[in-house]
Amino acid sequence: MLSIRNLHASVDDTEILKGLSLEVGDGEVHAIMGVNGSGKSTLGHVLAGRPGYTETEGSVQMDGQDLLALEPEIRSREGLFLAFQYPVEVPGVTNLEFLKAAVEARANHRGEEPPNASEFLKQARALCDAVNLDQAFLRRGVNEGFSGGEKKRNELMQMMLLQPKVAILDETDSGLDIDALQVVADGVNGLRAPDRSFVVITHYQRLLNFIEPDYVHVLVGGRIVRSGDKSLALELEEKGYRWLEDEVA
Amino acid sequence: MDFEQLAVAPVESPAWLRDFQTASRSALVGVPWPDRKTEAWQNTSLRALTADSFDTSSGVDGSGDPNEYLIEDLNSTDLVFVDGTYLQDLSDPVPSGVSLVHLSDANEAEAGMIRSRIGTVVPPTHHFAQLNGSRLDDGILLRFRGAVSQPVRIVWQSTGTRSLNHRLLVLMEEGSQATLIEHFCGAGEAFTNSVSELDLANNSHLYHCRLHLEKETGIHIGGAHARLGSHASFGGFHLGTGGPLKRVDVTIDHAGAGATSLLSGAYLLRASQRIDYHVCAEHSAPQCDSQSTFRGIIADKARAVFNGRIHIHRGARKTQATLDNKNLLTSDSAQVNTKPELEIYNDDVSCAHGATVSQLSGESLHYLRSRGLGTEAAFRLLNFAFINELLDRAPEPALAAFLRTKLQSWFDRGGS
Ligand SMILES: Nc1ncnc2c1ncn2[C@@H]1O[C@H](COP(=O)(O)OP(=O)(O)O)[C@@H](O)[C@H]1O
Ligand SMILES: [Mg+2]
Repeated sequence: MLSIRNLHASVDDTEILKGLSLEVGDGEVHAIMGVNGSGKSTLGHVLAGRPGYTETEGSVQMDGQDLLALEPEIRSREGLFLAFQYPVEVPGVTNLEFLKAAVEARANHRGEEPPNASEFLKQARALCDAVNLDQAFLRRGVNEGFSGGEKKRNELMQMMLLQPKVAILDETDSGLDIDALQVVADGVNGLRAPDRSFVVITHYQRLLNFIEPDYVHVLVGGRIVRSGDKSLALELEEKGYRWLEDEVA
Repeated sequence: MDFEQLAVAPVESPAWLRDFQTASRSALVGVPWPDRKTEAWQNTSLRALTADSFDTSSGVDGSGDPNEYLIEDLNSTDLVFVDGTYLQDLSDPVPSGVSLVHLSDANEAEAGMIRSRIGTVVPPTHHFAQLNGSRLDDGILLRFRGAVSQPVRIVWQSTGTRSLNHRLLVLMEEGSQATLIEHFCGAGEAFTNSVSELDLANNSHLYHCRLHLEKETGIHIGGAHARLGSHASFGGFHLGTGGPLKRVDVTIDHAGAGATSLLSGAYLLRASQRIDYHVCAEHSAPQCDSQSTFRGIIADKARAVFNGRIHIHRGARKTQATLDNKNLLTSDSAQVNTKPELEIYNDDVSCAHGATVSQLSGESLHYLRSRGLGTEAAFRLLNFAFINELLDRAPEPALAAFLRTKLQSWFDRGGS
């Protein structure tokens, strides 16, 4: 589904990703862990095509397609979704019109009929309920004045609406209480499907009690230095990251 | 050029107007032609004006194009002027409660009333208004009595290169209510020097909407000036697209105790267009409220000027005044000069004044794109958001809908 080979990427001429490789098969859930500054968000941004993040070497394929050759909006319409670590506030654009524009853009791209206004509203309301977000949030500016947890749930709602092929969740669990964590986990687990893959970026092992990963990878200095199954996450929880960093050094 | 030399009254003007024309002319004696050193014109060049711009000799060019000013579903009484000439065939009869008087055929009583009010609402420092007064040969008085529910729209259309001196005097009688739309349009290269004076008696209510939608070739210098009596309330809405030279002065004088005003405006510029709004809330009476909000979107190499002034006089106790101007630049070469001015001669007031300039945020744009919105759609959504809240203040849904389509087509033509 997602095949990353020897990816090098720079931000402001500083190389952050230094030869990262990752194979994510259909229907798999991969967790990426690592200390702050190890390049986790950079990976997400490069995949989503954020301006200023330039790949200098390597390749990324999504479903056999050269992902990095596509404009950010095409990547999205083709099925890539990044839940931002820091969702952006867009005052004045209501959540509802934003979501509607996103769904329409995707439908048009795929030659499908977009839902009509009332179908769409119904769907958006149901998703609000699913992520435990008051329906009033639909009428508010996108993420405008939302609390940290509300922003994360808003990201989750967008993911559920857009039904991606590959979803990357960047620290969607950070700053959430246990109930909110359960909502995130339910959202992801509910979407798990043979034709949908997840890359769950997290700092803590905690989330992985709720979302069971098939593989766990550790990112150090812009490279994956260790991969394993979920027991690796427990090992990290116990020993911290130092031993791996030392090993790499 | 020279104000004095340009201030020439037409031969065929009505006799009772002559002393007004003369007074306007003498106010211009020795007034220097504005240049960059003239404070009110510091950031706006008059270079686009030439001697030809002031040529009033050429007659009416065309018969006008009603499609140009069509506002769907707006059930208004239309008064249509093409190149300064009133066209009865295109106009509607005025409803009851409204009287329309052309200066050229005012009877003695009407002439007396006009003479006593004309030129008293516009501030004396507005030299182009005086120029308008000195050259005045026609104009209209609109008088409102009681509650007039149907909006009245004045269409000022230009078709050629003629110099136009529109003059409008509105008298809102005590307790009256009305909605008035001034709709400027035209595809020509006319120079319009227009003055509107809105005189609101006690307890009257006027919603005034002024649309500057001439094609980008038109030059416009004009003003809309309101004086509010006791407990009068005034709503204003301005929309301006740019041109080689456009300047609009808006003054609201809160002259009677308890008067209130709510003013909104938006300007949209692209290519190398210009626009200059000078907005001033005068507070001379106590317990008045004024709120002014202007938004500008400036694209390409365009340049906007906004000057927002709140002037609170000594006696204006318990004034509440806010003025807010926000600008969005959508290119690196777009420019805006926004200048807030506060002049307060009273302690017992609450005032807020703000001006901001922001660049369209790359982060927001990327966020929208990461959800599948194309650059165009994302741009439009972001720009619209900036201005949309103002449109909701339009009094007629049909008008709001029309303005939304205008904005839409502005963006579609590559406004951003
Ligand atoms: N805009 C930027 N300019 C320069 N350096 C950056 C920028 N964004 C991130 N970095 C650097 O890139 C490295 C990786 O950051 P990031 O991908 O955000 O890490 P993580 O998400 O793992 O905490 C850090 O050293 C960070 O300081
Ligand atoms: Mg991060």
